[in-house]
Amino acid sequence: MNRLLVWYGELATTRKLTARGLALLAVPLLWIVVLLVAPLGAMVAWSAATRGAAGDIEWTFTLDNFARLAGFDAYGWTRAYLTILGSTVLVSAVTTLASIALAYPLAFFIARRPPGRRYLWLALIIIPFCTNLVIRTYAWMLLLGNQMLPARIAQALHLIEPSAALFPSTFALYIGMVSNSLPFAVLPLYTNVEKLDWALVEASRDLYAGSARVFFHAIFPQTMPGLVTAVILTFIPALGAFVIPDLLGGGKTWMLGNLIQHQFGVSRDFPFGAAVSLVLTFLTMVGLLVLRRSGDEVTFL
Amino acid sequence: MARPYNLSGAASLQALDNAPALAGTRARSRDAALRFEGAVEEAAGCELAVTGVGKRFGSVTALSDVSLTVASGEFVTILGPSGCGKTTLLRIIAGLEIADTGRVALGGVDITHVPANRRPVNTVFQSYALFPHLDVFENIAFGLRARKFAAAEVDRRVHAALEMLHLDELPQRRTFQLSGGQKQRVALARALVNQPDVLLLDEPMSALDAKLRAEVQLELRRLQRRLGKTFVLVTHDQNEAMTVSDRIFVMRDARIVQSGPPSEVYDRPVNRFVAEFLGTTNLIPAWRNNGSVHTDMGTLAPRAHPSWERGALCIRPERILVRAAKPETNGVCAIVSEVIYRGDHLDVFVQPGSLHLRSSPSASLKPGQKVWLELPSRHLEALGE
Amino acid sequence: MKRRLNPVLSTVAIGTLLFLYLPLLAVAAMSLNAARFGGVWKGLSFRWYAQLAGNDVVLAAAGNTLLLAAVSTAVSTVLGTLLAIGLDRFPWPRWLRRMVDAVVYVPVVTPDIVFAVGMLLAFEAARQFLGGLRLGMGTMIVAHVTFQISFVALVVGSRLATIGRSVEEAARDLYAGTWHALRKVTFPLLAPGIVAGAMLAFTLSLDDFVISFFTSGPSSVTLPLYIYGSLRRGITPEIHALSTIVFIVTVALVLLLQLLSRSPKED
Repeated sequence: MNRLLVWYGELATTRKLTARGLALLAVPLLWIVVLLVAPLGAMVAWSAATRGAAGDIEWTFTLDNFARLAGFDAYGWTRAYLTILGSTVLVSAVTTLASIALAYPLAFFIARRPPGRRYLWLALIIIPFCTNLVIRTYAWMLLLGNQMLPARIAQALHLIEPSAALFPSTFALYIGMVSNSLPFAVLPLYTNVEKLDWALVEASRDLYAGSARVFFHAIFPQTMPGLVTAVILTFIPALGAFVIPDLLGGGKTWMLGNLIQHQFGVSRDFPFGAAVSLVLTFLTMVGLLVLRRSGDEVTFL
Repeated sequence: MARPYNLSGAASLQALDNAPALAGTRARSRDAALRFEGAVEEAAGCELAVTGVGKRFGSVTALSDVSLTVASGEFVTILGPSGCGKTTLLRIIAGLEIADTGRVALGGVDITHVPANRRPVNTVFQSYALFPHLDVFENIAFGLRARKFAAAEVDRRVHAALEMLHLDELPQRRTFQLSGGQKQRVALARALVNQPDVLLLDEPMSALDAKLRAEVQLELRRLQRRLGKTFVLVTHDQNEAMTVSDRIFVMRDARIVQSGPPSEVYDRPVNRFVAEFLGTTNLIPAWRNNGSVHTDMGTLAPRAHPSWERGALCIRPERILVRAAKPETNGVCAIVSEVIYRGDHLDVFVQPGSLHLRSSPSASLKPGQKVWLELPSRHLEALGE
Repeated sequence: MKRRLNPVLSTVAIGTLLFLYLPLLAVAAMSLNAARFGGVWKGLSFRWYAQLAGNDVVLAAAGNTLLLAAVSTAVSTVLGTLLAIGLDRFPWPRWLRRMVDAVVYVPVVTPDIVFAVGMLLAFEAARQFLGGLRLGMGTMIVAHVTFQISFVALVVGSRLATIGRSVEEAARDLYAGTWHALRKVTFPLLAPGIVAGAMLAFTLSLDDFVISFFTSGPSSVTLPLYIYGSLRRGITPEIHALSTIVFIVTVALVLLLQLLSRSPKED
């Protein structure tokens, strides 16, 4: 159906506009589709293959890799991989909670600053994040080293062995994960907090509600959209972390990311790695869907 | 070039003459206007004729068989509540929308399918739509540059426009540094500098505060008179419509309901909607019996005998007269229920009929008092359902 | 309305901010420490920076990083801008628009590692079946461009939405033809958005580790990869100096980006 219409002031036919639009969209869209579909397809294909004894790839169709992930291998059932799956979800969840807990005060703090200065504070939050992940992580390695102040304090308090460092440890892992996720938690919350209806808060204060109740009934519900975005931006990336568990966790708490990295590095077991990646992808999608349901729209910065 | 518009509505003209001029600028701006006008092509007899225009957006009908004619040099307002289709109509005239059915002609030439950038019509947008990356001078010069005028000519015309709209000090300013009133004048200058056959204005006062609005309305009227160009204004504000227009087109639900000079639309509304939209009015339910019209307050004789069986009579509050004794015709006996002092008049409410009338502030009317009212025939309109 | 914030909350907030900065400041401090090992301050010294300048491997890695960022930014900015314009400025039916938006969002929401592994597997499969494709700068560029396009499209798209219709309609109303309107109105107004998108893409590329890690080859080491490799061998003060430099450059870029996106041309 070729209609005549006026679009952005220009008199044209739908056919002409469609042709022009497609000409613009063709290359970039093709690029994205091909380079999204191909990897996904490759992941599926690889996960169904097996690694032969000599390191070559046998392109059979098998679900062995998934079975292995679920714990069933030649020696019976082990919990090993499922434990990794579990700790991935656990670590991500704890990280998300901690990040959100710290993000709320920060968001309120910034919202209370004079309007002209707020950009500065927001920039301050973004800047560390714009440094490389490796650098940030290793900076923590430095700070938590056995000669530095924090470790010295912990040694003095007998929390750790003398001349021991604060990493690698679960503590260091969480420190690294939370500091990595904070900016993504603060920014969406902040955009919500900025637009908060303080009249509601004042009203509930007037009704002699205690601080906790004021928070849960007047403030918390209003920040839901930002909160959902914050959770998505914190939880999902955390699922795929591997640098931080590797460097700060010291390989004690393996997450899915470490497992995957291992398959493509030391083990050279691409098919198994592909299978684990698929599981991670699946986890990601489930997480996204669940979280999207509870927040109608995901708006990015 | 004869001006066929009706010069009734003397009240608004009086206001025009009595309005204080901006100090010292009147003479200067008049000269600028003359230079401005004389500088360009004569506008041909450019009557705007819209015939049978219809427009739908999906399942919503924005315009339904709308026709109107605007004579060259008229200042016309399309008045209506939001959603009535007035902005769509304006955009169709500008070329920013294309009508599904109907025809738009300018000076006899069919421009229905002419793209916006080739119509000798310019628009002042509601949000002004000034180009934020250009300064005031370049904003105004935009149309001229697009038409490839020589630099010297552009310079001359833009300066004439700047002067005429009291923007002389501002040519280098950026648009975000301007006040609301200044932005509006830049938008006007930007449109007028191109000497369009028709100037379209889409609710140009909505972004201004009330006091500025009143001043600007008069200025706009003065400007149009001086330039002699056709102006078509769209608004929902009936005060604005009455202040500036030679003729008003009242729109509702995608149709034109009534058209005529302000006095006609105000004093002789064609139905309840128009009566109530243009200021306050009294509506008295009435029915016809044999040859006369009856109401709860007795028999009343409207200006024109109605053709309906049941309907309403309407009369403006300021037309009801208080009499010392029962008047010869159209007399109503009433009890005053409330009197409100408004400074320059009294708002008086009487029963029966919840009639609202205005009287001079010195009248001694008290609640509970019995009064005789006359509803003069010539101001008593019979309205259909 | 502006009551004082609970002091406990304020302290927590400031503490959190410090928490974010402390490690980086520690690295910067250590890079100026004449001592080789941390914990003892032996005086201000730039010797580690000097040592860096002579380290060929580092310089090569830096060169690779910049090359990768430059090329991928150039390609992705063009493609991303085309995508944004093509999507916003044409009357597509709503379902199509939503679908394409979702597709464009995918690279943004996928965890890095999934994306990286996918790319790697795709390249490996291509190598196995088509032969000739080797992991290196080329594959890294392709991988980077893929996720950069989405970010550029998002930034440019939001700028397009801000510009809105009225200004373009005004241009048409004032006799501008298609080309004139594009050149004099659309493009000048869009330019800051394109630049912002390009800078974002550049920063993301410089910043990236995970994707480079999986898609790089032996001859295409970038700075983050070099640092990661060195870490496994033990931290040296040269790394402190290197990291501080990267940090400063990134900060400068981000500040520039902020300045540009808040230029007074905005209304």
